[in-house]
Amino acid sequence: MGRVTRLFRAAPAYPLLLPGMLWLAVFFVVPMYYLLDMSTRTGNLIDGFAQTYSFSNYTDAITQNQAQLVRSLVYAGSATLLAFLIAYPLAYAIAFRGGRYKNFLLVLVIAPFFTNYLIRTLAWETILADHGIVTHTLKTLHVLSVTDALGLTSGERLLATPLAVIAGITYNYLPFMTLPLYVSLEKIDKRLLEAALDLYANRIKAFFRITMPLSLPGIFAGTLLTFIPAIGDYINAYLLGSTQTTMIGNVIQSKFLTFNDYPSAAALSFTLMAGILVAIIVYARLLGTEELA
Amino acid sequence: MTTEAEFPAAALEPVTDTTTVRPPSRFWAKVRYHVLTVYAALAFLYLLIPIAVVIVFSFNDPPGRFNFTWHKFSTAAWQHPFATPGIQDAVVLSIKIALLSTLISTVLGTLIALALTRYRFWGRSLTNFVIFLPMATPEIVMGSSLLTLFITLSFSRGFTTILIAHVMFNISYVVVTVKARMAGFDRKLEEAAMDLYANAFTTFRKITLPLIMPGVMAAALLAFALSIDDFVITQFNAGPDITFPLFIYGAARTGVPVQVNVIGSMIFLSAVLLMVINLIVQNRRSKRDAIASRGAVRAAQVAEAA
Amino acid sequence: MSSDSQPSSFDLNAQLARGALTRRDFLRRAGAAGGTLSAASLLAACGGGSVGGASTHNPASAVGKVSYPHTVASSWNWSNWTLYIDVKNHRHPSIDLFDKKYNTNTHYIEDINDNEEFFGKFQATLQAGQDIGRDLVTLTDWMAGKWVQLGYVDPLEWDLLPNVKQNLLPSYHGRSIDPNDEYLVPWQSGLTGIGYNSELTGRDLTTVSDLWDPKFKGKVSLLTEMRDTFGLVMLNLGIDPSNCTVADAQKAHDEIKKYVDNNQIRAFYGNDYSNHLANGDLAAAMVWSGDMVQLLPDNPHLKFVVPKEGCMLWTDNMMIPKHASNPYNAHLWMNFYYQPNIAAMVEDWVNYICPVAGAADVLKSGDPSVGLPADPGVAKNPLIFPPKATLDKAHVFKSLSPDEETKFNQLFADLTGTA
Repeated sequence: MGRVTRLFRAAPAYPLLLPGMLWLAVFFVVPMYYLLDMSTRTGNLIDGFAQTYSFSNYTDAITQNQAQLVRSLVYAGSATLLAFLIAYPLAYAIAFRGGRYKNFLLVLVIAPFFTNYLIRTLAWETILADHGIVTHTLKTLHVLSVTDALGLTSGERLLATPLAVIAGITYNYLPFMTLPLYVSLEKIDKRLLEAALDLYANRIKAFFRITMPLSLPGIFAGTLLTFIPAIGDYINAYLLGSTQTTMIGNVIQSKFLTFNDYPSAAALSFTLMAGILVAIIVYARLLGTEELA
Repeated sequence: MTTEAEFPAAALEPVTDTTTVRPPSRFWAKVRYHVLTVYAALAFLYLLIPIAVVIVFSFNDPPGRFNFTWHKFSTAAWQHPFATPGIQDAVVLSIKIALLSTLISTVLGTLIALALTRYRFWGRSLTNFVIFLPMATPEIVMGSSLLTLFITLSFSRGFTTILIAHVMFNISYVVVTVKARMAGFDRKLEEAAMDLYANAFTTFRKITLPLIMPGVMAAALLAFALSIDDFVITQFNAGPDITFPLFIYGAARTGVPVQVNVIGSMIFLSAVLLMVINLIVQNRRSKRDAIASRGAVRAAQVAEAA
Repeated sequence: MSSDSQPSSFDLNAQLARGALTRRDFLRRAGAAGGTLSAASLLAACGGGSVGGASTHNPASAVGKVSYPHTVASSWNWSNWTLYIDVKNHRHPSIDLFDKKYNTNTHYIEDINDNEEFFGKFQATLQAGQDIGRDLVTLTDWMAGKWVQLGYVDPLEWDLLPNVKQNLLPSYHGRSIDPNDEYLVPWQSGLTGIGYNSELTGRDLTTVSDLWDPKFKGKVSLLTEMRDTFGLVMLNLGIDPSNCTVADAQKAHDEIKKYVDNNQIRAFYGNDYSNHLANGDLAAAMVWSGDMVQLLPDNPHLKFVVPKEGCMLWTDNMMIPKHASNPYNAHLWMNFYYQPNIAAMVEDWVNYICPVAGAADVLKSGDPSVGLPADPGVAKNPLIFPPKATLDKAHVFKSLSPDEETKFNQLFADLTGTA
């Protein structure tokens, strides 16, 4: 009886799911299967690709491109952290201090990202140019010599350095971090905070005990939504970086489009995806938000 | 019969905005308070500086092909924003696709989010997993694998395929955003409505939807931004059609015309303008509502006293 | 599952008889027919499609026998690189004249930004034997050669191209990528040489070795086009790029690697070097000639030089993709362009090297019938109409076999960090 009632109670879920999941099934899952099938083949464009179930594609992909894999992890991680540090106070300010202008401020946050990704990144090229104000100021303040020593920049310039790439990624994925944070912060019942203050907590304690934990779903969503596309990004590395800053996305693109080495590219893509999924699961367990995922 | 005690005069006062915290009086507390505002202002500055550069350079009059160094002020590009051949079609196409894909993906995604947060059904974890996968997949992989599918089905590439691709990757983002909002959703409100003889559809329309609307709007906004800006996946699946990002990518190699800056600025300013209008309308509406509700309460009180 | 089409042995033998195929090609195609499956073919197996990699179309037999239906289509599609045709008042005058003359509508699509990208976009479609929605594409010689090799190009009907026969500069005949001139009609050529900012370098540069000057550390860039970068460095090392081997590529790789590792080279760019040269991020770079002409208004200190040891010459070619729906219009256009006054119209704006004889003369005096004013500056520009001395120093990169290409690309990717 329990099973049947559960089924009945859960029945309304299926028609809700159907249209969307069907779309994903046909236009995502099926192509993914074909890609998986490709990853164990060998061959080339002219002679075709034969299915040889060679898992060496995977091992080769990892050993040959270790540097780029690690670099992507580091850059994406740093960018996510930076984005979080910038976005959280911003989202907090809008949610708690925004008042009637909340929606307006929110649009102000996301509107820059309606202009094209490339235009924005090219604008950064102009801003960070060698003879531009920013580079000049940082040079005079000797900030660049410090970052040179740390390996973040080189040659006392900003462009074509890891710093520029990380800065570009941070900027371009900022709304992915801000929006979910805002959504979950805005939802918090302000009376809970008032209650905490009434109970003699100071503002800082109230923040860490009430606001922060309640915004955890937002933090979870925001960091994932930022980190994951960031790790596969290649445009920032291409426009703002140099040959020493190539990320795994650049390698995959090169394998697909330059080498037409589809099996290798497919294997690398799946390796990347697998790594990301593992990271997500670990992260979800850590934050204890498995059901909120 | 309601009495003064049960219906305090405070209810007649306009609702105070409980979302703003009154600033404290002591000096350091004041400083601490304003630190946040300053930080937020700086963050906004950071967000808007590249846009400022784009807007400023849209008034540039470069003698050559390239628009990277400032030469002189000119409004020529603003007077003829669609002058560059092909740019108008590209922009129109991008907007059409963005609007349509936002609509479809928001609807589909919200339905999925509703199902996931409310019901415990068989296949729930699998569904979660499948929703997550597109977000963990590099765009280039999604784009090329989707193209392979279209070729197999002999489906010619163009508007429809771009739309399909955009909806596909947007659904996941919508689901995640709406779910973040729904996590603390109070089912009791719905149950209350149903106790008051509302059917499921009315409940959804009058209770659920308005409550999750901010999350849905945020998701729609995100979907729109993602769609209008998408490059990699679109590139693989566009066939002969050229969207705005594809147009810019092509132009970036040999000199981005000033018109591109103009259109970028226009998109930014229209989004802001739209929201300002929305704000004004909302203000008017909430004022009207407040007056109406006050009037209604006062009328009720008068009727009671009579 | 439909049957996979196989090249009939009759076709292959016929090709072999004409000597159009080498023995290796023959074996490869025969093997492909029976053996491995290409990716698209596996997927297409449920919906029909060809098996094996290379197409089974027999190109050589088509020489002199190609004939397309001679009806003008109401519209047709042409893919080209950006800013590669004349622009005036936001229209393309040459195309407008063409449309008026033949009562058609040219859908001119500027979606080629990179040879490999364009190839990657349409490769699967071409492999499956489907129409890619383009009647004409313009690709650089090595990629054009690849398409020809893979059987992705429809042959030309030369009876429709009298102007081309008459006005194509002789140096373009019988190129290694198209030995019988069956598939390709040149659009523009260009030189790869050295561009530099004389204000930043403080002196004139004359050779590729100048790029390695430690004074320019971190302000030098090379090109993402492997053939251009390796080509120039090979010339610098005394190797002829039109005859190079994998060992030569290794030498070029090792030479460049030194300067990648010590940060002499800032980055590898495509056309984006233009921005960085113009605004001073770069002191010197490997550049394409046409771009430098266009950059001068942005920064008058920019100079282009053909290095002492030589430069690279490349050509972008018009070609008709397989299964194009409107090949007749494509032919009409190619024939139309090869009139000296039309070519002059385009040249006045594009500023790359013109393959059409007589265009320089038209530019000297102008041609009012097509609205072209006299522009002797362009007619005399050695980057647009290079003198024999320059062309003698220009080298075309060798046409690589797939094996070689993979190895060359591997070496190059190791330099650009995308290995």
